[in-house]
Amino acid sequence: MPNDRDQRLAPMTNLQQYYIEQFLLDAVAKRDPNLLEVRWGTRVDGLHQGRDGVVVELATDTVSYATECDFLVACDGARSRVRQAVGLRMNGTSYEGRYVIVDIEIDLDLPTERLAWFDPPSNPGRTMLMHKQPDNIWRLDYQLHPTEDSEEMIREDKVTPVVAAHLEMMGIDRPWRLIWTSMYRAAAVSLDSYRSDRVVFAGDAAHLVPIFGVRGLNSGFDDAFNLGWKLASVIAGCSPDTILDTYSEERRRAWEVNVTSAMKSTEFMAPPSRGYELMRDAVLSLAKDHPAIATLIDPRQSAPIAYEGSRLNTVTRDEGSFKTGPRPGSPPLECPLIVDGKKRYLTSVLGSDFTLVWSGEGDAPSMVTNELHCAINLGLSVILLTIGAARLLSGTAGQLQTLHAEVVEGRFTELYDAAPSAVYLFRPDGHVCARWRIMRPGDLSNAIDTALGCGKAELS
Amino acid sequence: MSVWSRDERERAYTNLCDAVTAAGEDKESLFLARLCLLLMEELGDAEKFEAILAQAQLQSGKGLSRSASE
Repeated sequence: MPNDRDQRLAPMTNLQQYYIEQFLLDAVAKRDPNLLEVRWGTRVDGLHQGRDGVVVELATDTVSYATECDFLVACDGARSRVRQAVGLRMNGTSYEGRYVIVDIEIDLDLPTERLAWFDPPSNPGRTMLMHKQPDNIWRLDYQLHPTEDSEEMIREDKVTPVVAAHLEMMGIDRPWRLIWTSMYRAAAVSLDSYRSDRVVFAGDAAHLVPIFGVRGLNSGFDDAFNLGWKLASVIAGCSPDTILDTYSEERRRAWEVNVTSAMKSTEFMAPPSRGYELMRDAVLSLAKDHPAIATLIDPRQSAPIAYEGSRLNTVTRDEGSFKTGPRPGSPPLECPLIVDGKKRYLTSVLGSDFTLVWSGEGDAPSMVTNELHCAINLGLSVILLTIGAARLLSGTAGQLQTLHAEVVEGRFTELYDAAPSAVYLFRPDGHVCARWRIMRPGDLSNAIDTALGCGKAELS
Repeated sequence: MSVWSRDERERAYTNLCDAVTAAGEDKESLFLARLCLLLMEELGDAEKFEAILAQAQLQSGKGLSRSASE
């Protein structure tokens, strides 16, 4: 996990699901209740797709009714009823190795890091993981032996001795309380396409990844970031509905990359055969004295995935002049900045619309502002962020939404290969979709058109 | 010293794991011994080989006791 001076978030920042759910509900409460409503205790019983929308059959314990929508986004989890109603199946690989997941409440003074034990004396033959969560909650994951029964092994009377032996081995003698237990089996399965006409699948309803590397909910959030602005753009009439196919293309590819990493972690954490187990033990015994061999233990934590080759990217005539920095399709590189005298980070400054970042010596050329005015006249939302020495020519701002940031120790210039000048266009989900050294008339509108799925690039 | 790229090392490691599994538990020692002999010839450096041999030896506390006893 990135852990250097450029990062906004510390590694191992860990939020339990119940916090995330509460934050989401708090956010819902701030919205117009006519636009956003939570209906508790409601299940989906079926659906019909028409040419212009979807009819969903809903039911509570007492009432059944139907409701219509333009698009249905199914985020209803691994056992998605919507997926079943549409008649789709996920394909891929399921692993044999099972893990018990246990949350305990205990007051410990240990650092925030993930600890792993392979074959520990407390529980011979098991791989055990332990990490900290907020509020004195500690998560333990441990491997089941092939002969053990899943249902039986998550019972309190079976979990307690495993945890007690482990705490004793660590020399911990403090009271603890069992909070929650569950069982997990690694699966790498996905739908072939995350779109079926007007029904779109996201999160576990669309794909499952092995648990090692925190890719489950995180890849669900990446789905939401990717889909949200595209759906909004279709509804606003700025994009054809074919842009929703790029959601499926980009996120399905991201799943493939995720699974490749997650399977390597899984092969290490729950060896699928004798060869993997023997070699894993050999790696562990040599890792301390051999840094190169130790790289094989890399837990490969989740990281945002580049949408390389996406048809929403524009590869400009200047692309070849960039030696480093995020390429078209890449997620933003985190970078500290100073805005209004306060330390901020690029990912928190990027807008929820397109953001054009201009960095260079002297004032931003009028070409940049002309291009922005053209885009805005076409009804496209784009924010201009100038960085470093770059300033707007006075009086050119007009109706533009603008922001200025100072560089911190030349980090932007270095991370974005931005000398002597660079212009980056970020999509609403923060991914880079084009970059230039110098802009020419039409560049910005063309790149935004392409990113909205209505550019010329889509025809090719 | 190592000339492997990260990806190359990971791929080679995965192939090695699969090859050990394919050898089967009763033949894995023979398989690994053959592999060592072939790598030794490829290395062609007596001094280096002696150093690697020493590093690979299982001393108490260094190697995994379970591997040593098997």
